[in-house]
Amino acid sequence: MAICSYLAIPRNGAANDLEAQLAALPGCEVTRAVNREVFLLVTETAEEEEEAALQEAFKRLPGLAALILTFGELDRENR
Amino acid sequence: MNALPRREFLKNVARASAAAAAAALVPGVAFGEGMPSAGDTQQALSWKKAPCRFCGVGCGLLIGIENQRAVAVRGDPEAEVNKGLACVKGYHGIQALYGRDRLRRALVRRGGRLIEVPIAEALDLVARTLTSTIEQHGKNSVAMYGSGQWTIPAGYVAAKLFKGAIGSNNLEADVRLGAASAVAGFQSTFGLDEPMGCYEDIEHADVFVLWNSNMAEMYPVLFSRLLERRRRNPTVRIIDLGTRTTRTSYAADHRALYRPQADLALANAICHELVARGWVDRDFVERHVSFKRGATGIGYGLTSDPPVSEDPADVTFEDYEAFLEEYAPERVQDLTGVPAAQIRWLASLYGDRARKVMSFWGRGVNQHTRGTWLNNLLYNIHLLVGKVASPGNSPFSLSGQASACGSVREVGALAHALPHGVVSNAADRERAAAIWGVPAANIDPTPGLDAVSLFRALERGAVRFLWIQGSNPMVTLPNLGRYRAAARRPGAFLVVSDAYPTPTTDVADVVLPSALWIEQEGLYGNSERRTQHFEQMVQPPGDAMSDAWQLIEVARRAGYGSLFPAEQARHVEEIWNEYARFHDLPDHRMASLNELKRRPGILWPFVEGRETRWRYNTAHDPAADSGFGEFDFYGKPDHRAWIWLRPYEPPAEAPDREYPFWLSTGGVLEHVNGGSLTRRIPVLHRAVPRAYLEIHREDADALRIRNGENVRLVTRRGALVIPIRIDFRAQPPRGHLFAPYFDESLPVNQLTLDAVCPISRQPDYRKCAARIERLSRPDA
Repeated sequence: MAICSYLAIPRNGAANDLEAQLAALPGCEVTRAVNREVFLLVTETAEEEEEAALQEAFKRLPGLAALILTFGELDRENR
Repeated sequence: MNALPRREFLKNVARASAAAAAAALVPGVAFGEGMPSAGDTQQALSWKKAPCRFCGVGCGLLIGIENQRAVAVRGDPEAEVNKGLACVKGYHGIQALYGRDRLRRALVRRGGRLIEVPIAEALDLVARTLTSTIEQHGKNSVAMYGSGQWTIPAGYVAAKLFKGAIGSNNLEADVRLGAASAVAGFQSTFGLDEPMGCYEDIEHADVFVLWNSNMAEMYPVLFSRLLERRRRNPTVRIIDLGTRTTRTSYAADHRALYRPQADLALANAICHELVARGWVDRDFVERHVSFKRGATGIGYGLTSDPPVSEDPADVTFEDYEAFLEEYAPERVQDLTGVPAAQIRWLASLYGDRARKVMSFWGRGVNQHTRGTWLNNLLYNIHLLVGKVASPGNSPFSLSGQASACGSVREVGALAHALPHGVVSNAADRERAAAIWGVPAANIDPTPGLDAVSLFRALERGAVRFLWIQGSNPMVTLPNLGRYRAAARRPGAFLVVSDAYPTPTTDVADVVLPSALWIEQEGLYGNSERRTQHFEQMVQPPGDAMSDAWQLIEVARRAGYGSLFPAEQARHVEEIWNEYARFHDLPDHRMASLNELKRRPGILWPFVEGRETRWRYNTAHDPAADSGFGEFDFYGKPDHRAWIWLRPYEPPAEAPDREYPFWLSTGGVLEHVNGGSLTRRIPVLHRAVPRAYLEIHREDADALRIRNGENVRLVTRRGALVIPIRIDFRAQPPRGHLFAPYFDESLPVNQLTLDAVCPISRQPDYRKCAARIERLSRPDA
């Protein structure tokens, strides 16, 4: 299991679309700031492959200007 | 408080961390009700502060500990450096503690194989061999090679053991490979090492000029502060000057590509324009600057010659003006590749009195056969316009490793240095001897062997005992094949302390398992003179112990025990208190350990409870004498900063018909140095699992090479089969190649040239000549 959080910054005019797209991704929970165009994104993935797929999905979001990692819980033994 | 399920608790921590980071980045941001409070994140985990252990930015982190295991990381919102943020390395750094192949036991080579032994037996052997080598071959036959990843106590104990007790200045660190030209540049221009400003300059600057520094990858959190400064103030400009197009270039407002080595001419051309256009701050220059001419034609350190002696000559401003004549923009545009109009525009940014300017650089400037000169030239630009040592006006040399400054440069762990001094200065030697409790005659006034010279001495048998701690030189040295052979030479005894097996432990006679980062108490010092304390949070595995305590154990066995703390539980405190005595002056002090334990980090000098944010500025620095005016460059005997006349000189090796490409090696976001830690962090390893060779698409087309195809990369030092990447992270210009060096399975530094800056003795990894050979393929 991995739990991470991010700040997601939308491109101009893309906030609504981005919110919907992020919310539709598996394991993603989105909270929109009430007074700025900034999202808190919390992700939960069970496997490394799932996490990699999610990262790839982020790269394909046209309305995403920046994604800033702010927390990582990574209690998995590495190689 | 009712206990939450662990998963929900961690999600609360994740939400709270993101909210804290948002508050730091976007003032006034609100997320409404339902966000977890700080109390919701206190359950089960204990959170302890530590600086990140990777790059020299020095981000403050909070480490979540559960059942004696580090399980979570968040940026420390109290840390001024990063204001709650961290980069991908920082967030995943704790995984470096838990690789399956961690070294847990000491190893000794017997019959050609490394055999597990009790650690006491290994320490006995190290001490016995150290002593017998000194007895048979003299004190200069032994040497130590440490790291910018050392803690301050480890670097300090190494300096005291080698320079004070043994009397050998053969103490070096991998910082020589990354920052020696920065040290020599500071010393020759200002007389004292390390920046005069601090990261707070970013919040005051209007223009950022990045000199061959891919900050977006190498210093991502600091770069985010530049971007945030620009976001809040759209008139701010970021200028990227470099030899290839990188992620930094794409984020910059303006970019210019210059030819390798031509940075010397470019910097002088900017100075030419500042003088020609009347943009020089005459009052500042007359009050605070001296002009010096140094030796020229100084070679490339390709033999083990001693460092060049500068013997500077006084010259006048008019001499300097005449020197600059040959650097008129039109005269150097072909050499540099930068159009004259663009050079003039760059000069206008520095020359505009209404704009505050920061210049940033790191290894892209320092790893240069004229690295010291180039550091001098960048200071020249700032000194001519008086944009130095005041908020927002700041030439800023960045260090690459977590504690290159704190654990090596500050504590005297380079061959020429003492804590807060140099071995060649009698007063510095006497002060060190008094604090260390050794006769002053113990400290040799002659600098020891620099890193490359040290391995050359190993090659010829002049050094016979070498202890390497926390570094992986069998991946990171230039012209690597030569020094791998030297390390295997019969008669050489190598001790390697590390946390994981590496190509360097492969050639060791003794391997000592080291504690990593938060498995010990320690202190780091970052790029902006900030000292950062961390406590021991988890136990190291097996017999692993801190590098500092390994040194003390060996010192005790070698008969120097009375010079070092006897009690492991208090050794960091005792070492810090002793080290702080070197800085115990009325106007220059370090913070107490108790103060450092309370805060994420403190800038030195720390005098009467105040950090010194701008050294040499009489309004900020208690050591600066206002009798000299607004600034007092007290590091120099004339209380002035020195502008050096440093010409363009060609590189040691350049492309030709046989080797038509420039080859440069360097870093990537996900990996640090030789990669021994970051390659064991799955998310980082997966992102960039192997080294690769970047080439311009048109060059690839001309050679009929496809993306991902393996090619043979050849230089005069050897050849390597390596996959091609086109338009991956960065784009080298035509005729240029770039390869990251973190991958021990593709050791690209065996192809680089071991030419060094003859003043700083730092190698130039950025310029050698190479060719590409296609491998035969079925469809070719």
